[in-house]
Amino acid sequence: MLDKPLPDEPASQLPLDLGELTRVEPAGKPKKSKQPPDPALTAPGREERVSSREEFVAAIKTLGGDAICIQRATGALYRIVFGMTTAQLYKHHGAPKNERDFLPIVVQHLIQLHELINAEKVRNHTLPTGMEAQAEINEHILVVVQKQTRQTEIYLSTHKLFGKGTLVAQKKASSPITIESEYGPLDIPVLELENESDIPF
Amino acid sequence: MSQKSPYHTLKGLKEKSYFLWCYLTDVEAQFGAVFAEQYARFKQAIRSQFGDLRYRVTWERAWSSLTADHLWENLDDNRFLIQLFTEFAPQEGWDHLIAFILDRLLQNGEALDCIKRGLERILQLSPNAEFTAERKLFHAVQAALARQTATGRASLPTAA
Repeated sequence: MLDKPLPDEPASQLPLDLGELTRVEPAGKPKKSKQPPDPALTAPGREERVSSREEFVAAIKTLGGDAICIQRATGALYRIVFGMTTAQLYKHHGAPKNERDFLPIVVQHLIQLHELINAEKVRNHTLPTGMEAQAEINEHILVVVQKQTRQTEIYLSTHKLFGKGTLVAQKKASSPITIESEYGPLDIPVLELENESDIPF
Repeated sequence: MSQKSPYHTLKGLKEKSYFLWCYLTDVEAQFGAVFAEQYARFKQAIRSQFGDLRYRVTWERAWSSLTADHLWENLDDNRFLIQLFTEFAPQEGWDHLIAFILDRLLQNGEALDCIKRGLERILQLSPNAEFTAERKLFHAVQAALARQTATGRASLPTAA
């Protein structure tokens, strides 16, 4: 057992040999190598993106949501913001499934923004008295997340911060987003959020 | 677990499967007058895919399969994918159904890569962990892959 694995430790030295997890391909069909280049562990802003996801999950769990509730809330967020499921969004951008670092940076930031705002909203929310059934709790939390996500989208649209999320989703990786302002069109490559207080509530 | 998990009872599995089916087919879970009609459609779908509705294993397979589909549609994080199996499953009492879920999940070509990347990330980033649950999952994935290889295609394991 390793004492403390280093963050950039190669997979071959991990306590489990992940190379053992392979499918036996039928003879004659060469195995397609779909391994993405290792991007991720040192990518700028990665820790913030990971922690926004963790905060979102932790807030739902603390309020009483179960695994299905977390999945549904995540799915609802993607549907409202991008108009597609998570599977469709990753496919749309040609990114490996669930590897956020391969999505365009503006899409990553938009997801992160929604996760942080929703985490804050759920954290400050209390369930109605007497609500005990898991299905009811899940439904209640889902509605909270849906409402907040829509509200944030409206805010972003009216203030022309991101434009409609669905439009942002159509942009190719690394292309800047253009927003219409009173001074004419502005190209914004990345919206950097310095801290949580920058997030519009 | 002091209280019996709904995933161990026929009633609980039916209820959970019904809600998942509603989410996946994009219909609102209905009650009252329209419930009977919708529930009949649901039962028909389950029967045609998973077999005799009188057996618990049918519902275990149905719930697991629906869960795997739901997970694939909605999940956006490989670490969370692993945590679902290692933390949420024992807490919520559906860890005995992980084999069924993996069988269905691994039918998707990309799923194995997702599991590997999730495990890799957890092993790299969690300091001083014993990785007991991760090892268990690792072996469950190995077993699921072996089942796939043995049958030449993805298949569900027999009931315990």
